[in-house]
Amino acid sequence: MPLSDASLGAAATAPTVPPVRVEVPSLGIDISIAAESVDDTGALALPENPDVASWYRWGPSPWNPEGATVIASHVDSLEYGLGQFARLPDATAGTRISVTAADGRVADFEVQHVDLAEKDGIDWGQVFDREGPARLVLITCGGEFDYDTGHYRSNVIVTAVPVPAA
Amino acid sequence: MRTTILAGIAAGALIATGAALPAAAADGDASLSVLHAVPGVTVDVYVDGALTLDDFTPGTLAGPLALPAGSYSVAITASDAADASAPLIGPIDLPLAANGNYTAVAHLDAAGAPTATLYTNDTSTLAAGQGRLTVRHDAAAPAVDVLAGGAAVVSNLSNPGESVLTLPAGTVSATVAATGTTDPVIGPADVTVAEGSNTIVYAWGSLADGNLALAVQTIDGLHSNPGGVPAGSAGLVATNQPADGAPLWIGAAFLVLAGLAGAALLRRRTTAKAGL
Repeated sequence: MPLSDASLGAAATAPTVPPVRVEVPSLGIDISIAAESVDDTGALALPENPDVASWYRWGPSPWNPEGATVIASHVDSLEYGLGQFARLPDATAGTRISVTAADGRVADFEVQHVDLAEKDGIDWGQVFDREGPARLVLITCGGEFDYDTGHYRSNVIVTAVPVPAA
Repeated sequence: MRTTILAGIAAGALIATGAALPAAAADGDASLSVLHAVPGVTVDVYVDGALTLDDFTPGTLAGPLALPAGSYSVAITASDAADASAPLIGPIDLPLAANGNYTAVAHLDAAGAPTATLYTNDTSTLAAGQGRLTVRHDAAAPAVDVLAGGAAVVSNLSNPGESVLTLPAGTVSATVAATGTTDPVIGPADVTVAEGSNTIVYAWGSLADGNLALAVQTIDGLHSNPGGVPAGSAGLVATNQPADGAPLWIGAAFLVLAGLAGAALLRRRTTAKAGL
């Protein structure tokens, strides 16, 4: 049976290192990141400006040993126009992505697959999975637009895996 | 009898897992943790007569241990006892339900006598962004209030009671005071209410002996996930755009926005004029 010191502060685990910037050089994406929680509807909160991406702060970051780091950004906005993540569907297997932390450390990933999935059918527990292999998930919107609700019907989901250190 | 000896994290601690306690978790197993919250005495813990925790020191949390559902007899003895025949506490029966999550706490009652309490830990799923804070009174002290930011968030909690709160994840500066007062007997202390976790804080020790303290147990994995990613609102890259490629309704929206901006501009000009 494992034993641990129960005194206040003794069990504090290393805090998750927030990412502050994500780059996809081959697609010309270079975007800053804000740490976000959920909005009033329980969906991931995103900054209004599509030039600032949202990292789900309660999930892993690239420097955690396991789980999915989720970073999302608006594909477009009535106020700001097209966002940088509008170029995500052009990613292909092997496309390089790098994520930077505030202290300058960089984690490199390469794209495994790019999916366009209808929002109703997405398993969000899988997308935001905090366990399993370390991976990076970039999300934006795409596909058909519902002109009645003002929302896209699908998400573009890019899944990338860590590039082994050279 | 098969006995496995494992080195513990605490210096010098050795844990003997008797045959009565299977090592591998199975579906339906209960989860049991044990907290030693009696000041100043090192003990041994016997489960169903088998030595399970040897030289268990105050302020130490043991577990979690996966156990088949059932009732277990626990006796806590002096650390030099040869067997469970002369316990300091118990023997007490711990009825553990299938899939239940429990913490057995050896502690002082309100009058300062050693006792033990079995608590059931709330492991229900939390909404995304939320944490659970459980506060347990296991100290030789009268009823207390727990204050956060100067306001009582738990009132009139007496030994061995508990109070369970759901809070936005974050850090709480907590103070424990005698009920109806604000003069701290413990704290202020920063308590991290982790997202998707049940953070259980135990007040233990003795007010009369001046050794009141907090112990913390955390049960994680109770989170839920965001239910969507609404990442677009203009339809600029829609695959079902109207035939001319320039969505009419967006044009209309821009006109409305332009109209509003124009109206604001007019108002400002009017104000400016009035100012002249």
